[in-house]
Amino acid sequence: MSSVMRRASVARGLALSSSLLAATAASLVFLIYGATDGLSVIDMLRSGLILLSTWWLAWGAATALLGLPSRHDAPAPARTDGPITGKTVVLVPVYNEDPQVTFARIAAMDDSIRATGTQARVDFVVLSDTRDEAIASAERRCFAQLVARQNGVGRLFYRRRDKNTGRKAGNIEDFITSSGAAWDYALILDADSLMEGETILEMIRRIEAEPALGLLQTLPRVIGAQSVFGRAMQFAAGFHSPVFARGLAAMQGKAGPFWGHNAIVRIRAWSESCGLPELPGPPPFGGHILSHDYVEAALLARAGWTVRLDDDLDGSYEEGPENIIDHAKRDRRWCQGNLQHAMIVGAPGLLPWSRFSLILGIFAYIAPLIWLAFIAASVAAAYWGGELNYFPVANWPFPVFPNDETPKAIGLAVGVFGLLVMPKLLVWAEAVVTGRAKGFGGAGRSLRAMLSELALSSLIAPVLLAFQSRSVLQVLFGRDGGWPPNNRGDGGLRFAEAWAAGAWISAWGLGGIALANVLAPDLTLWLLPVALPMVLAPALIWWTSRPAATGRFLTPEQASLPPVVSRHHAVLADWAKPTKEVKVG
Amino acid sequence: MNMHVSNVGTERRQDADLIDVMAPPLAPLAMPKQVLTVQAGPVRLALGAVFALMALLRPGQRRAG
Repeated sequence: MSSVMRRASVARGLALSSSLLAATAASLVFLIYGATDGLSVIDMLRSGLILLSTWWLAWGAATALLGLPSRHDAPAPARTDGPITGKTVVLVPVYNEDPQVTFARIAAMDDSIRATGTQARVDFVVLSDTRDEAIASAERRCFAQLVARQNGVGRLFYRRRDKNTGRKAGNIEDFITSSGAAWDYALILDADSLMEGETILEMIRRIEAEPALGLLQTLPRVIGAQSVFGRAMQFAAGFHSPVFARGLAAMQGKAGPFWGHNAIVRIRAWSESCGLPELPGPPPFGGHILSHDYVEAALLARAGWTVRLDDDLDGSYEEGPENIIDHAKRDRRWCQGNLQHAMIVGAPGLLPWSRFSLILGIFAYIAPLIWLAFIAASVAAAYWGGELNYFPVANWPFPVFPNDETPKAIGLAVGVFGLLVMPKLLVWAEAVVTGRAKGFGGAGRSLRAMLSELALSSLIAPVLLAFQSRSVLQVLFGRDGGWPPNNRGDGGLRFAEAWAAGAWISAWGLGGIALANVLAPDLTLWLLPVALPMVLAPALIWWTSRPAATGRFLTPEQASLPPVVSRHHAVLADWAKPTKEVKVG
Repeated sequence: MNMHVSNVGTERRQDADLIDVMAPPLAPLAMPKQVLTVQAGPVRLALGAVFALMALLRPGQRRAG
């Protein structure tokens, strides 16, 4: 067994055993607590649900714990030091995006690469799947502008498909089958991706140095958020994700993740291994594979190629949704895609870790339903559970008090809460110790931001839980969510829009409170932390889409713009000036 | 090639010419479709045939057929 696999096996074993141990302990404590008034079927059901949901929380906590130590003990990735010989193409798939903003990113990345003085061949291809003719026409105009600015004839390319068969995966497959042999490596981006030239070249050096490396994934930082919601998510991604990614990288072995963009692939490996078939049956479970990235990673690993996340690579950026509605729309797509993996998880020849990763992806969307089921079962248990019988023995004059299991119940609640909060506190401590917190405003400011983000995410969690549960149910009942284009921009919502999107959640929240009040009045107070944010859903959706105060949820990229982002802004400003004539070629 | 790319009045024809020039080179590469579904073995195929026959024996199925 190679040292990579040995290290991964130890990390996987630790994460699995500790999370299973925590889940089993929580389940047993709950069972003992439930048994005080007699063990019923519903107690056992609730104990099972606690087992599953605690395991999910504990798995996240274990991943964070694995990522806490710095990666200095890991061997440095191999890289070529001489001139780069392979030819690389940067793929920019677009689908009804703002062409000026998107193509300005290409200009910025091209400038950034050229600023390094490299002689490496790095070309760009825009792969348009745009359906809107007006946007397609604007794409052609902006592309001419881009080629003229970059002097890009022979380096920058554009092609638009007549039909967007297979969506993004089909778009890339179409390119590989028609033009793939012209390059050695493909850097796959999203329309909102930005990468520093140095980072792109480093990725090429690493994939060139390891002939078995099929895919190299970076951890993209979220940038450009303006709203309260967007900034909070941006902060959380910037502050916590590096540690979680390091934990994930410790467990990956040779079957790491692919997140669909900001990753470089070896074209030969890709073409041999990643031709995705249509799944049998109609959507949502059949048809084209929606969450193609997980599957492509699994297929590369199945074919013997290494798929690796290198969490040390900086200079990789993306944008995130600015409001809860856009987040929910994106999540709906991911939900359908991940649940569709139930059809793939048994595919022949997949590595066990790839199967486990697919199951984790499915579980991420099932978990909210497990919590909801637990709440419903708790209300049912309170309704059907009888009064305590203090005189269980006939003709015995003295009351028999049940064992006081209150400390165990409190311990369980603290434990579950700790699994949620403890990793974040430890990540903060890591950031302070390593000096990473400086980029987030220092120890005090980053702690305040972390606690604010924790409070905000706890407040909106029931709203997101409602959207996620609806998505899962829609998929299970066979409703196809389609492929709506992403919304970019500031994401500000009018209250009417927030009301239209969230009124049903308010109704469910109110209904839940009313039902609990009738069936189990004692539990009503305990349900309020979940039910009240649901009642306030439209207000929360609206408020979190408002612009955030300057400096709130500070991230290093906000404090000091990365060079490639500055270049992007400069190109956009340049293009905003009226242009009369452009010479191309 | 000279092109006007002001915000208004761009010639569609010129756009098309440019796109012809800017299409990526033709360099085909085979991308075989991967097997993702479990292939039915002889036992599963035999069971499938039995269930299909049983379904045909049902009155409702006979009428539909």
